[in-house]
Amino acid sequence: MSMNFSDFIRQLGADPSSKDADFLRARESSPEFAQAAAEADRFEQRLQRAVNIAPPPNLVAELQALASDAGATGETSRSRPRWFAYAMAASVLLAVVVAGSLWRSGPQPTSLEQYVAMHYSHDGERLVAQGAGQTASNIEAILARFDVELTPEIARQVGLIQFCPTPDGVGAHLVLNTPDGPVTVIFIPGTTAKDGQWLSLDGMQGQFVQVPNGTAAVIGGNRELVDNAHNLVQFGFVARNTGA
Amino acid sequence: MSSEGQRLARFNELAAAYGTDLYRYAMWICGNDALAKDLVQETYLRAWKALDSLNDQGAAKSWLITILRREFARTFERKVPKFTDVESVEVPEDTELEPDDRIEIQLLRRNISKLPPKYREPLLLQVVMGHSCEEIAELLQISKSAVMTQLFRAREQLKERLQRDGVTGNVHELF
Repeated sequence: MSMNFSDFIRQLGADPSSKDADFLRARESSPEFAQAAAEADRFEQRLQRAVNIAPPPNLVAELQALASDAGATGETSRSRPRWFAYAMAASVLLAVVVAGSLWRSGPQPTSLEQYVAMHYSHDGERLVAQGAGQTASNIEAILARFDVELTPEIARQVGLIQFCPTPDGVGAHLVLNTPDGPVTVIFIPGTTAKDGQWLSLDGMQGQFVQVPNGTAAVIGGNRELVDNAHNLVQFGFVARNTGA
Repeated sequence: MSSEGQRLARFNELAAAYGTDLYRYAMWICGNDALAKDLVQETYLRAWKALDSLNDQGAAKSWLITILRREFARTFERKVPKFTDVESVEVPEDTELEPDDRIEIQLLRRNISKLPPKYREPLLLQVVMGHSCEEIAELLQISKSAVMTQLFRAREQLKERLQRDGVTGNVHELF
C-alpha cells in the first residue's frame, strides 16, 4: 500500500535517510512528494553542517596513544587533572547564576534568616538525600571562589557541595555526613550575622555561625545536632592560604 | 600478530572510526571543549579496559556511546545525563563558509542547543552518531515510536525557530 502524504512528511521529519522501501518509493511518487523530499534533504545538509564541530587536531592519535599509555602503566581510569575540577566548578557556577536569576524572580527574602528558610525549603531535603553516604571531591574548587577552605576534619564529612544562589550572588551549599546525622551548611559570602542566633525553620533547627569571609547557616534535625555542628563549622572554615 | 597486538589494532580502529563523532556528541551534550575531550578520553580508556567484552564489532558504536553517556552521567552524579544549561554551544568558526551560510549555521547551532533535552539527544544520536531509530530507542530505553515522535518534533521546532529568526528559504510550508 502506498504511503499517504501526511505519513510521508512524518517519516521525512523523523528519519529522512530511511531505507524503507515504501518511503523510498513515495519520494518519487509525485511532484508534491518529490518537492517535500528535496526540501527535507536541503534541511538535512544544513543540519549536518551545523552539528559538524571541528575536532581538536590529533584527537584520534591521542586516543590511540591512550591504549599504549594505559598498557604501560596498568592505568584503567585517568586521574583527572587539577584544572578539570576548576573547569567543572566554573561551568556549574554558570548554571547556578542562571538558575539563581530564575529563583530570585520569585518572592524576595527580606532578611538573611528568611533567605535561609526559603533556600532550605526549596531544595534542602533533596540535597541531604543526595549527599547521604557520599564523599564530595570538588570542595577546594568550589570554596576557592570565596577564598575559604575546610580543615581536613570537616572536609572528610562533606557528602555534597555545590554552588547555590544567594541574595547577592552565589554561595555554597554543603551536606555534612556527621556521626550524629546529616547537617546542611549554607555558606553566604560577604555577610555577617549574629553568631549562635537560632533560625526559625519549618520542622528543622538552624543556627548562624560566623566564619571567615561570610556567614554559615547550619541546619539539622535537632538542636543537639546543630550545636555539635556549630563548633565543627566554626573551626572548620578557614581563610584560604593562597600563598600570596 | 600477537594477541596483544591484535587487541591494540582493534582499539586503534575504534578510535579512528568513532573518535571524532564521539567528540562532537560529547561537545554537544556538555558544551565545553575541555570536558568533551576529557569525556572521550575517559570513554576510550574504559573501552580499552573492557575491549574483550565487545564480541560484536558491529555494536561498537552503541557500546562506545553507552560508555560515554554513563561517564557523563557519573561526572554529574546523575543517572540520566543532563544537557548543559549554557544557551549556546561554543564552536570553532568555520572560515570556509559564506557569511550567509555562517549566520544560518550559527542560528541552527543556537537553536539546537535550545531544544528540550528529550528532543535534542535523539536528534544528536541520529545526526552526529548516525544511529538508527531502533538503536536510539535501545540506547534511551524508550520505544521506537517515541523516538520517531521526538525526532519529528525536534526538526519541527528547529524549522519553526529558523522561520522566526528569518531564515525561511527552503523550509517546507507544512512545518
